[in-house]
Amino acid sequence: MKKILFILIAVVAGLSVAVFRIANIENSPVFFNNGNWLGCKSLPLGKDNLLTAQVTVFALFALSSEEAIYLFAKRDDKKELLHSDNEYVIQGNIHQLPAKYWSITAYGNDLYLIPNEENRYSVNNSNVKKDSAGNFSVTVSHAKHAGNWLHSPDHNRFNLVLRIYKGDKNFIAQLDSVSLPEIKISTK
Amino acid sequence: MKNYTKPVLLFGLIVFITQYLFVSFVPNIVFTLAKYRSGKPLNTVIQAPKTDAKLRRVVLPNPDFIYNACFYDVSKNDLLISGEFADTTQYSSLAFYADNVQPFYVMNNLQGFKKKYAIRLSSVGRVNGCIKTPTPQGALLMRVLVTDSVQLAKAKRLQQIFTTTILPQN
Repeated sequence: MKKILFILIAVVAGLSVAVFRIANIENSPVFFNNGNWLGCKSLPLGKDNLLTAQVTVFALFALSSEEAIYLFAKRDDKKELLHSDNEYVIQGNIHQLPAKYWSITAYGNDLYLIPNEENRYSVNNSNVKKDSAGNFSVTVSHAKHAGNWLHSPDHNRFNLVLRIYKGDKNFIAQLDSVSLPEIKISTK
Repeated sequence: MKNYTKPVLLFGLIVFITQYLFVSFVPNIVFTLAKYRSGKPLNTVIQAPKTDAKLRRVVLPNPDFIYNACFYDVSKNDLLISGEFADTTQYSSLAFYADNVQPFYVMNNLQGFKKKYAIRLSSVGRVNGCIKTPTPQGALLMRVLVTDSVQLAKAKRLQQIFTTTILPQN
């Protein structure tokens, strides 16, 4: 009986270690941080067991890096976790993101889309409102907002995902150092 | 005094092996769960409505896409996948995943493929031009970008004409 309990405790500890390692995606050496965004230029899927598990759990049915790049943001410019008690502004320029398609989508802490009456989930290169120079500003708030707006949840943490499909090759090669849209707490 | 070296080492070994196996098999576990949660038989097309907050089956869904999915099993048969890409103003792709949910082949409408496609999927790959799967089971996903109502209508048509047909294994 003691032996079975010993093995059971060790197995549970092993499972706990595995869950911790998979969840600890922010500290994975494969990912780079560029401003607010965490991402990877080339996912060695199938070669790195831990990364493959992380991508499966956090981005099921993700495409290969040649097709699409996924960048995650869970912190603002002050490294604080994004929280809907604050209002945020994402500032960028469409020329920063040379790609066939890009989008910024808000997700709840559970990684699902955030329900809202407007069915407003993403801002993309087709629907983003911009000025003549290509500058855009997206407000992320729980309350409805004019212009580019993404809905944040009710008193909870949330995440943003920047997707880049068929991005320019030079741009993708320098993704860890190029200027990307910034996420800041709104001062308005 | 009791020697704890052996039990401590044994404990550490069990912890290491368990976590290694779990991390290694997570993709297969997630694939199996996704397959059963789809509620559809293998080799049939799953037409998903435009993604919104009601979708709770897949994390981080892209709300700008319409999807068709199919969990395939080509262990005893081949599978013919027929459909059409959108025109090049509207990104669309067909991605093939193994049973560890990793993509092994992706086609999109910007690569110069013919608009209409008929792809034979096989686990043995004896027929020229067919796509050989690394594992007998897996999934395929048709994605069509939808940014307005015109694109939505086009995408829904593409969803309707996307079919799978079971063929004898060659």
